[in-house]
Amino acid sequence: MKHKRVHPLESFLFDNIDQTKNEAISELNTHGIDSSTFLAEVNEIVQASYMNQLKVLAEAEKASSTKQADFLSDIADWGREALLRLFAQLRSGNFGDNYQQAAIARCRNKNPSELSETELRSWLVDIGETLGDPTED
Amino acid sequence: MDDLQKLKHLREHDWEELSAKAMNFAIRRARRYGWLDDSMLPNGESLRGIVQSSIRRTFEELDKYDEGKPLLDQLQNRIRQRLSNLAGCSDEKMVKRIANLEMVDIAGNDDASTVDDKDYYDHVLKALAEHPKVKSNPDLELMVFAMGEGVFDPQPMSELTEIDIKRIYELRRTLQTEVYPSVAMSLLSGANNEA
Repeated sequence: MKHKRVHPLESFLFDNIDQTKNEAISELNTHGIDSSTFLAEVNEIVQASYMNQLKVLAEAEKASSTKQADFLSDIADWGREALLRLFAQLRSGNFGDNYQQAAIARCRNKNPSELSETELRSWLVDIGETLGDPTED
Repeated sequence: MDDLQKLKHLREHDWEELSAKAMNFAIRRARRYGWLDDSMLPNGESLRGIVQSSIRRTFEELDKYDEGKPLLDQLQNRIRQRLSNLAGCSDEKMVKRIANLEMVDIAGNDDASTVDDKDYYDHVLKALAEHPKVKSNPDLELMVFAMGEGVFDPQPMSELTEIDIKRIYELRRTLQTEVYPSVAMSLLSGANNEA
């Protein structure tokens, strides 16, 4: 991958990090820009963008919690074979490194096939609560 | 930092200061392509629109926001990129060439890969040195001399020229706002006359 940087002369001729806020606003005015209108528009954009993104994050969080709750409620009804099959898939890395590491950590000193249905379900609930629904896309 | 923390961190900035600087930056960048007002920008774009859209996208693309780097740099990089892309589509050869030269490849060998860049930037330095405002100001002359020696950071420049660092910043502002715009325009018009 190529990394690019700005030519040092470019940086020198355009760098304005040392400029104060008042100087920057004065410069806007010298360019013929009504700074009050410009800054009012920016404040509106910032506020609207912030609120919009908050909404997007809240919706994503809600969708994720619903999925997790569905998953935890689903496995409450699963039998031992189904639980064992899901655990084996987690351990073999089918759902990614995080789930694989969590599954391996759980069964470091135990053989999952010797576990009871309750123990298996408890492991999967722990993993679901920590990492979320592994079957989520 | 998760997305919510990034979002809150973004909002805490002084957006009036950031946007004023970003808008001035956009105006100066546009002038180097010969775009003196919005009517000269390709595709019906406006500088104010480009700056505002860069602000919106900074909020929308939280994964690209690096809280460890100055936000002004990140905002101005978006603006620089947008203007450079527009310049790349220009019908004018020199504008296109400047757009291509603006960035140098640091993965490759700078000396070998930027012969054209060197040629162009030598022209810029020569034109800066010959500008009446520079020739009539010994401090500015010294400053441009230091640039010719490859010294661009204000602190080493201050040490080399023995000019106070505050004065270096003032002189740089003079160079940016009063000298470089006319140099950029004269280089553009010179190239267009040659073509």
